[in-house]
Amino acid sequence: MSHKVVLIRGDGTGPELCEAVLKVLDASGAKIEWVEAEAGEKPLNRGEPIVPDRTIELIKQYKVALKGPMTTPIGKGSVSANVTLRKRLDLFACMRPVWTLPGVPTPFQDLNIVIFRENTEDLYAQVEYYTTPDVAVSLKIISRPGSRRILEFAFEWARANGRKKVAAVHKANIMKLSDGLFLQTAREVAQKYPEIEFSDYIVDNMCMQLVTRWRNFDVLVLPNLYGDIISDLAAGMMGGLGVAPGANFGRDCAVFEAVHGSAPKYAGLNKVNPTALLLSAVLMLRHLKETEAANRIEQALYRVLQEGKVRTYDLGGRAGTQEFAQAIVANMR
Amino acid sequence: MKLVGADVYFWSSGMPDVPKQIGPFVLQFISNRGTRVVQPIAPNAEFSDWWCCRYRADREVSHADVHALLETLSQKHVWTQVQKLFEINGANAYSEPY
Repeated sequence: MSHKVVLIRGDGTGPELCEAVLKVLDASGAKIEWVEAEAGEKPLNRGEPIVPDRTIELIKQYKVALKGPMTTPIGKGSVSANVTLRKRLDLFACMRPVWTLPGVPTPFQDLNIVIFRENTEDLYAQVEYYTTPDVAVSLKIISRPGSRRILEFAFEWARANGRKKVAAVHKANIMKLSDGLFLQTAREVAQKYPEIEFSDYIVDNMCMQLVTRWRNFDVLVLPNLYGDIISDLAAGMMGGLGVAPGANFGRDCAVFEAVHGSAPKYAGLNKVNPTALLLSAVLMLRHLKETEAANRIEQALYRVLQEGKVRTYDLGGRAGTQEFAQAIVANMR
Repeated sequence: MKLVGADVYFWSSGMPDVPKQIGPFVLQFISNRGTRVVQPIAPNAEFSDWWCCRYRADREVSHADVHALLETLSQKHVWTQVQKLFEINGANAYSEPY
Protein backbone atom coordinates (compact mmCIF):
# COMPACT_ATOMS: atom_id res chain seq x y z
CA MET A 1 0.00 0.00 0.00
CA SER A 2 1.37 3.40 -0.91
CA HIS A 3 1.49 6.35 1.49
CA LYS A 4 -0.12 9.62 0.52
CA VAL A 5 2.25 12.43 1.48
CA VAL A 6 1.71 16.16 1.03
CA LEU A 7 4.55 17.81 -0.89
CA ILE A 8 5.28 21.53 -0.54
CA ARG A 9 8.04 22.42 -2.96
CA GLY A 10 8.73 25.78 -1.32
CA ASP A 11 10.49 28.91 -2.54
CA GLY A 12 13.91 29.82 -3.93
CA THR A 13 15.92 26.63 -4.31
CA GLY A 14 13.06 24.56 -2.83
CA PRO A 15 11.62 23.27 -6.13
CA GLU A 16 14.99 22.04 -7.47
CA LEU A 17 15.84 20.45 -4.12
CA CYS A 18 12.49 18.67 -4.12
CA GLU A 19 13.08 17.48 -7.68
CA ALA A 20 16.40 15.95 -6.62
CA VAL A 21 14.95 14.34 -3.52
CA LEU A 22 11.96 12.91 -5.37
CA LYS A 23 14.35 11.37 -7.89
CA VAL A 24 16.14 9.56 -5.07
CA LEU A 25 12.94 8.52 -3.31
CA ASP A 26 11.53 7.13 -6.55
CA ALA A 27 14.63 4.99 -7.00
CA SER A 28 14.53 3.74 -3.41
CA GLY A 29 11.37 1.71 -3.85
CA ALA A 30 9.46 3.77 -1.28
CA LYS A 31 5.76 3.61 -2.04
CA ILE A 32 4.66 7.22 -1.95
CA GLU A 33 1.89 9.05 -3.72
CA TRP A 34 2.57 12.77 -3.61
CA VAL A 35 -0.20 15.29 -3.02
CA GLU A 36 1.02 18.72 -4.11
CA ALA A 37 0.23 21.75 -1.94
CA GLU A 38 1.42 25.34 -1.81
CA ALA A 39 2.81 27.60 0.87
CA GLY A 40 5.18 30.55 0.88
CA GLU A 41 5.73 33.21 -1.75
CA LYS A 42 3.45 31.82 -4.48
CA PRO A 43 0.17 32.06 -2.56
CA LEU A 44 1.36 35.25 -0.88
CA ASN A 45 2.00 36.92 -4.24
CA ARG A 46 -1.55 36.02 -5.26
CA GLY A 47 -2.87 37.82 -2.19
CA GLU A 48 -3.62 34.59 -0.31
CA PRO A 49 -2.38 33.64 3.16
CA ILE A 50 1.23 32.45 3.24
CA VAL A 51 -0.11 29.02 4.13
CA PRO A 52 -3.50 28.59 2.41
CA ASP A 53 -6.28 26.78 4.27
CA ARG A 54 -6.24 24.03 1.62
CA THR A 55 -2.63 23.21 2.51
CA ILE A 56 -3.49 22.97 6.20
CA GLU A 57 -6.48 20.77 5.43
CA LEU A 58 -4.43 18.46 3.18
CA ILE A 59 -1.81 17.94 5.89
CA LYS A 60 -4.54 17.29 8.46
CA GLN A 61 -6.06 14.77 6.06
CA TYR A 62 -2.91 12.89 5.04
CA LYS A 63 -0.97 13.41 8.31
CA VAL A 64 2.49 13.63 6.73
CA ALA A 65 4.17 16.33 4.65
CA LEU A 66 7.59 16.91 3.10
CA LYS A 67 8.43 20.57 2.72
CA GLY A 68 11.12 22.38 0.75
CA PRO A 69 12.58 25.55 2.25
CA MET A 70 10.41 28.65 2.20
CA THR A 71 11.18 32.36 2.18
CA THR A 72 9.96 34.44 5.10
CA PRO A 73 9.17 37.89 3.76
CA ILE A 74 10.80 40.65 5.76
CA GLY A 75 8.75 43.67 6.71
CA LYS A 76 5.80 44.96 8.55
CA GLY A 77 3.02 42.48 9.13
CA SER A 78 4.74 39.60 7.39
CA VAL A 79 4.49 36.15 8.90
CA SER A 80 6.62 33.06 8.58
CA ALA A 81 5.17 30.12 6.66
CA ASN A 82 7.12 27.74 8.87
CA VAL A 83 5.80 29.23 12.11
CA THR A 84 2.28 29.32 10.65
CA LEU A 85 2.45 25.59 9.86
CA ARG A 86 3.73 24.79 13.34
CA LYS A 87 1.09 26.89 15.04
CA ARG A 88 -1.91 25.87 12.96
CA LEU A 89 -1.06 22.18 13.03
CA ASP A 90 0.10 22.31 16.67
CA LEU A 91 3.42 20.73 15.66
CA PHE A 92 4.87 21.07 19.11
CA ALA A 93 7.97 18.87 18.80
CA CYS A 94 10.83 19.80 16.51
CA MET A 95 13.38 17.02 16.12
CA ARG A 96 16.86 17.93 14.88
CA PRO A 97 19.24 14.95 14.84
CA VAL A 98 22.92 15.63 14.25
CA TRP A 99 25.59 13.06 13.64
CA THR A 100 28.96 12.73 11.94
CA LEU A 101 28.41 11.98 8.27
CA PRO A 102 31.08 10.03 6.41
CA GLY A 103 33.12 12.28 4.15
CA VAL A 104 31.71 15.54 5.49
CA PRO A 105 34.53 17.55 7.01
CA THR A 106 34.03 18.44 10.67
CA PRO A 107 36.28 18.43 13.73
CA PHE A 108 33.43 16.86 15.71
CA GLN A 109 33.93 13.14 15.14
CA ASP A 110 31.53 10.64 16.76
CA LEU A 111 28.84 13.28 17.02
CA ASN A 112 25.45 11.64 17.62
CA ILE A 113 22.87 13.83 19.34
CA VAL A 114 19.14 14.21 18.86
CA ILE A 115 17.73 17.61 19.79
CA PHE A 116 14.08 18.17 20.65
CA ARG A 117 12.95 21.78 20.54
CA GLU A 118 9.57 22.91 21.84
CA ASN A 119 7.89 24.53 18.88
CA THR A 120 4.83 26.49 19.95
CA GLU A 121 5.48 28.73 22.94
CA ASP A 122 8.31 30.60 24.72
CA LEU A 123 9.35 33.83 22.99
CA TYR A 124 8.10 32.30 19.72
CA ALA A 125 4.57 32.95 20.96
CA GLN A 126 5.48 36.36 19.50
CA VAL A 127 3.27 38.27 21.90
CA GLU A 128 4.75 41.75 21.86
CA TYR A 129 3.71 45.22 22.94
CA TYR A 130 5.05 48.71 23.09
CA THR A 131 4.14 49.69 26.64
CA THR A 132 5.48 53.21 26.18
CA PRO A 133 6.99 54.78 23.06
CA ASP A 134 10.43 53.81 24.38
CA VAL A 135 9.79 50.33 25.76
CA ALA A 136 8.85 47.16 23.89
CA VAL A 137 8.17 43.91 25.72
CA SER A 138 7.95 40.35 24.42
CA LEU A 139 6.24 37.73 26.56
CA LYS A 140 8.22 34.58 27.25
CA ILE A 141 5.41 32.09 27.79
CA ILE A 142 6.33 28.73 29.29
CA SER A 143 3.41 26.52 30.30
CA ARG A 144 3.35 23.31 32.30
CA PRO A 145 1.37 21.37 29.63
CA GLY A 146 3.53 22.81 26.85
CA SER A 147 6.68 21.78 28.69
CA ARG A 148 5.34 18.38 29.67
CA ARG A 149 4.40 17.31 26.16
CA ILE A 150 7.79 18.15 24.62
CA LEU A 151 9.60 16.52 27.53
CA GLU A 152 7.46 13.39 27.31
CA PHE A 153 7.95 13.32 23.55
CA ALA A 154 11.74 13.45 23.97
CA PHE A 155 11.81 10.78 26.68
CA GLU A 156 9.44 8.51 24.74
CA TRP A 157 11.58 8.88 21.64
CA ALA A 158 14.71 8.11 23.69
CA ARG A 159 13.09 5.01 25.15
CA ALA A 160 11.80 3.77 21.77
CA ASN A 161 15.18 4.29 20.13
CA GLY A 162 17.41 2.85 22.83
CA ARG A 163 18.95 6.15 23.87
CA LYS A 164 20.45 6.25 27.34
CA LYS A 165 20.59 9.91 28.36
CA VAL A 166 18.34 12.95 28.18
CA ALA A 167 19.51 16.44 29.16
CA ALA A 168 17.12 19.37 29.65
CA VAL A 169 18.53 22.79 28.81
CA HIS A 170 17.33 26.00 30.49
CA LYS A 171 18.31 29.28 32.12
CA ALA A 172 16.45 28.70 35.37
CA ASN A 173 19.17 30.36 37.42
CA ILE A 174 18.01 33.69 35.97
CA MET A 175 14.45 33.09 34.75
CA LYS A 176 13.47 31.27 37.90
CA LEU A 177 9.75 31.10 37.17
CA SER A 178 9.47 30.46 33.42
CA ASP A 179 12.58 28.34 32.85
CA GLY A 180 12.15 27.13 36.43
CA LEU A 181 8.77 25.67 35.42
CA PHE A 182 10.37 23.92 32.45
CA LEU A 183 13.09 22.48 34.67
CA GLN A 184 10.67 21.42 37.40
CA THR A 185 8.49 19.68 34.79
CA ALA A 186 11.57 18.01 33.30
CA ARG A 187 12.50 16.58 36.68
CA GLU A 188 8.95 15.26 37.18
CA VAL A 189 8.79 13.68 33.72
CA ALA A 190 12.26 12.14 34.12
CA GLN A 191 11.05 10.14 37.12
CA LYS A 192 8.78 8.14 34.81
CA TYR A 193 11.82 6.96 32.83
CA PRO A 194 14.18 5.46 35.43
CA GLU A 195 16.20 3.60 32.80
CA ILE A 196 17.21 6.92 31.19
CA GLU A 197 19.90 9.05 32.82
CA PHE A 198 18.59 12.58 33.27
CA SER A 199 20.62 15.74 33.68
CA ASP A 200 20.08 19.45 33.19
CA TYR A 201 22.33 22.20 31.87
CA ILE A 202 22.17 25.96 31.84
CA VAL A 203 22.04 26.97 28.18
CA ASP A 204 25.30 28.94 28.09
CA ASN A 205 27.13 26.07 29.76
CA MET A 206 25.54 23.69 27.22
CA CYS A 207 27.00 25.75 24.36
CA MET A 208 30.46 25.40 25.83
CA GLN A 209 30.01 21.71 26.69
CA LEU A 210 28.69 20.88 23.22
CA VAL A 211 31.78 22.11 21.43
CA THR A 212 34.21 20.60 23.93
CA ARG A 213 32.54 17.38 25.15
CA TRP A 214 29.98 16.54 22.46
CA ARG A 215 30.46 12.80 22.95
CA ASN A 216 28.85 13.12 26.40
CA PHE A 217 25.46 14.03 24.96
CA ASP A 218 22.71 11.81 23.65
CA VAL A 219 19.28 13.51 23.63
CA LEU A 220 18.70 17.20 24.41
CA VAL A 221 15.33 18.81 25.09
CA LEU A 222 14.90 22.57 25.14
CA PRO A 223 12.35 25.38 25.18
CA ASN A 224 11.77 27.03 21.83
CA LEU A 225 14.37 29.81 21.60
CA TYR A 226 17.25 27.85 23.13
CA GLY A 227 16.29 24.95 20.86
CA ASP A 228 16.41 27.20 17.83
CA ILE A 229 19.90 28.42 18.68
CA ILE A 230 21.42 25.17 19.92
CA SER A 231 20.08 23.13 17.00
CA ASP A 232 21.76 25.47 14.52
CA LEU A 233 24.97 25.32 16.53
CA ALA A 234 24.74 21.53 16.36
CA ALA A 235 23.98 21.65 12.63
CA GLY A 236 27.24 23.53 12.19
CA MET A 237 29.04 20.82 14.13
CA MET A 238 27.56 18.25 11.75
CA GLY A 239 28.91 20.07 8.72
CA GLY A 240 26.50 22.93 8.11
CA LEU A 241 22.86 23.61 7.40
CA GLY A 242 23.25 21.98 3.97
CA VAL A 243 23.35 18.55 5.57
CA ALA A 244 21.14 18.96 8.68
CA PRO A 245 17.66 17.40 8.59
CA GLY A 246 14.61 18.26 10.66
CA ALA A 247 11.10 17.13 11.48
CA ASN A 248 8.12 18.66 13.28
CA PHE A 249 5.63 16.46 15.08
CA GLY A 250 2.18 17.10 16.50
CA ARG A 251 -0.28 14.61 17.97
CA ASP A 252 -1.75 13.94 14.51
CA CYS A 253 0.59 15.30 11.86
CA ALA A 254 4.26 15.43 10.99
CA VAL A 255 6.07 17.82 8.65
CA PHE A 256 9.59 16.96 7.50
CA GLU A 257 11.86 19.75 6.31
CA ALA A 258 15.42 20.83 5.79
CA VAL A 259 16.39 23.38 8.38
CA HIS A 260 18.13 25.77 6.01
CA GLY A 261 16.51 28.70 4.22
CA SER A 262 15.41 28.94 0.60
CA ALA A 263 18.69 30.55 -0.60
CA PRO A 264 16.93 32.63 -3.29
CA LYS A 265 20.23 33.88 -4.73
CA TYR A 266 20.98 30.30 -5.82
CA ALA A 267 17.47 29.60 -7.17
CA GLY A 268 17.57 27.90 -10.57
CA LEU A 269 21.35 27.47 -10.51
CA ASN A 270 21.28 23.72 -9.71
CA LYS A 271 23.89 24.35 -7.06
CA VAL A 272 22.59 23.73 -3.55
CA ASN A 273 23.28 20.54 -1.61
CA PRO A 274 20.10 18.43 -1.34
CA THR A 275 21.45 16.33 1.57
CA ALA A 276 19.49 18.16 4.28
CA LEU A 277 16.16 17.70 2.54
CA LEU A 278 17.07 14.15 1.55
CA LEU A 279 17.92 13.21 5.14
CA SER A 280 14.65 14.87 6.24
CA ALA A 281 12.91 12.58 3.73
CA VAL A 282 14.78 9.63 5.28
CA LEU A 283 13.36 10.64 8.67
CA MET A 284 9.96 10.72 7.00
CA LEU A 285 10.43 7.23 5.54
CA ARG A 286 11.32 5.88 8.99
CA HIS A 287 8.19 7.59 10.37
CA LEU A 288 6.18 5.82 7.65
CA LYS A 289 7.91 2.50 8.50
CA GLU A 290 9.52 2.45 5.04
CA THR A 291 12.69 1.27 6.74
CA GLU A 292 14.24 -0.57 3.79
CA ALA A 293 13.95 2.43 1.50
CA ALA A 294 15.30 4.69 4.25
CA ASN A 295 18.33 2.45 4.79
CA ARG A 296 18.96 2.14 1.06
CA ILE A 297 19.01 5.91 0.59
CA GLU A 298 21.14 6.53 3.65
CA GLN A 299 23.75 3.95 2.64
CA ALA A 300 23.88 5.26 -0.95
CA LEU A 301 24.30 8.82 0.34
CA TYR A 302 27.08 7.71 2.67
CA ARG A 303 28.87 5.96 -0.19
CA VAL A 304 28.72 9.11 -2.35
CA LEU A 305 29.89 11.35 0.51
CA GLN A 306 32.65 8.94 1.51
CA GLU A 307 33.93 8.53 -2.04
CA GLY A 308 34.02 12.32 -2.42
CA LYS A 309 34.05 12.38 -6.23
CA VAL A 310 30.61 13.99 -6.51
CA ARG A 311 30.27 16.89 -4.11
CA THR A 312 28.26 20.09 -4.10
CA TYR A 313 29.97 23.46 -3.70
CA ASP A 314 29.43 23.68 0.07
CA LEU A 315 31.51 20.52 0.51
CA GLY A 316 34.26 21.75 -1.81
CA GLY A 317 32.99 20.13 -5.01
CA ARG A 318 31.54 21.21 -8.33
CA ALA A 319 28.58 18.89 -8.75
CA GLY A 320 25.12 20.34 -9.14
CA THR A 321 22.04 19.46 -7.14
CA GLN A 322 20.71 17.01 -9.74
CA GLU A 323 24.11 15.39 -10.42
CA PHE A 324 24.52 14.74 -6.70
CA ALA A 325 21.08 13.14 -6.56
CA GLN A 326 21.89 11.07 -9.64
CA ALA A 327 25.10 9.83 -7.98
CA ILE A 328 23.07 8.66 -4.99
CA VAL A 329 20.67 6.83 -7.26
CA ALA A 330 23.61 5.20 -9.05
CA ASN A 331 24.99 4.02 -5.71
CA MET A 332 21.74 2.49 -4.52
CA ARG A 333 21.82 -1.25 -3.89
CA MET B 1 0.38 57.00 21.98
CA LYS B 2 -3.26 56.54 21.15
CA LEU B 3 -5.22 54.07 23.31
CA VAL B 4 -7.31 51.77 21.08
CA GLY B 5 -8.03 48.60 23.03
CA ALA B 6 -6.87 45.98 25.47
CA ASP B 7 -5.64 42.41 25.55
CA VAL B 8 -7.33 40.78 28.52
CA TYR B 9 -5.78 37.53 29.75
CA PHE B 10 -8.06 35.02 31.46
CA TRP B 11 -7.43 32.06 33.71
CA SER B 12 -9.86 29.44 32.42
CA SER B 13 -9.77 25.67 31.98
CA GLY B 14 -11.46 26.04 28.58
CA MET B 15 -11.82 28.82 26.07
CA PRO B 16 -13.67 31.65 27.86
CA ASP B 17 -17.13 32.50 26.56
CA VAL B 18 -16.81 36.28 26.46
CA PRO B 19 -19.05 38.93 24.86
CA LYS B 20 -18.28 39.81 21.25
CA GLN B 21 -18.84 43.50 21.91
CA ILE B 22 -18.53 45.63 25.04
CA GLY B 23 -19.01 49.39 24.78
CA PRO B 24 -16.76 50.69 21.98
CA PHE B 25 -14.75 47.45 21.90
CA VAL B 26 -15.17 44.50 19.53
CA LEU B 27 -13.65 41.09 20.29
CA GLN B 28 -11.08 40.54 17.55
CA PHE B 29 -9.86 37.08 18.51
CA ILE B 30 -9.08 34.67 21.30
CA SER B 31 -5.56 33.27 21.39
CA ASN B 32 -3.57 30.87 23.51
CA ARG B 33 0.18 31.36 23.82
CA GLY B 34 0.21 33.46 20.65
CA THR B 35 -1.89 31.09 18.55
CA ARG B 36 -5.28 32.27 17.32
CA VAL B 37 -7.84 29.65 18.35
CA VAL B 38 -11.12 30.88 16.93
CA GLN B 39 -10.37 29.50 13.48
CA PRO B 40 -9.67 26.00 12.19
CA ILE B 41 -6.70 24.52 13.99
CA ALA B 42 -5.35 21.04 14.56
CA PRO B 43 -8.08 18.66 15.70
CA ASN B 44 -6.26 17.69 18.87
CA ALA B 45 -4.52 20.98 19.55
CA GLU B 46 -3.66 21.45 23.21
CA PHE B 47 -3.90 24.70 25.10
CA SER B 48 -2.82 26.15 28.40
CA ASP B 49 -5.30 27.61 30.87
CA TRP B 50 -4.26 31.18 29.98
CA TRP B 51 -6.29 32.79 27.21
CA CYS B 52 -5.95 36.17 25.59
CA CYS B 53 -9.02 38.06 24.34
CA ARG B 54 -8.29 41.11 22.23
CA TYR B 55 -10.81 43.91 22.45
CA ARG B 56 -10.21 46.65 19.91
CA ALA B 57 -12.10 49.86 19.20
CA ASP B 58 -12.14 51.58 15.84
CA ARG B 59 -11.41 54.93 17.48
CA GLU B 60 -9.38 56.33 20.33
CA VAL B 61 -10.81 55.30 23.70
CA SER B 62 -10.25 56.53 27.24
CA HIS B 63 -8.64 54.69 30.12
CA ALA B 64 -12.07 54.78 31.77
CA ASP B 65 -13.43 52.80 28.77
CA VAL B 66 -10.88 50.08 29.49
CA HIS B 67 -11.82 50.06 33.18
CA ALA B 68 -15.49 49.65 32.19
CA LEU B 69 -14.50 46.78 29.87
CA LEU B 70 -12.77 45.05 32.75
CA GLU B 71 -15.70 45.61 35.07
CA THR B 72 -18.03 43.92 32.60
CA LEU B 73 -15.65 41.00 32.02
CA SER B 74 -15.05 40.58 35.77
CA GLN B 75 -18.70 39.73 36.32
CA LYS B 76 -18.28 36.23 34.87
CA HIS B 77 -14.57 35.65 34.34
CA VAL B 78 -11.24 35.72 36.15
CA TRP B 79 -8.74 37.89 34.35
CA THR B 80 -5.11 37.77 35.42
CA GLN B 81 -3.48 40.41 33.27
CA VAL B 82 -4.37 43.31 31.02
CA GLN B 83 -2.25 45.00 28.42
CA LYS B 84 -3.54 48.22 26.96
CA LEU B 85 -3.17 48.46 23.19
CA PHE B 86 -1.79 51.59 21.62
CA GLU B 87 -1.15 53.02 18.21
CA ILE B 88 2.05 54.97 17.72
CA ASN B 89 2.16 57.30 14.72
CA GLY B 90 -0.78 55.46 13.19
CA ALA B 91 0.79 52.00 13.47
CA ASN B 92 -0.33 49.24 15.82
CA ALA B 93 2.11 49.04 18.73
CA TYR B 94 1.37 45.37 19.36
CA SER B 95 1.80 42.02 17.62
CA GLU B 96 -0.79 39.83 15.92
CA PRO B 97 -1.22 36.17 16.78
CA TYR B 98 -0.66 33.38 14.26
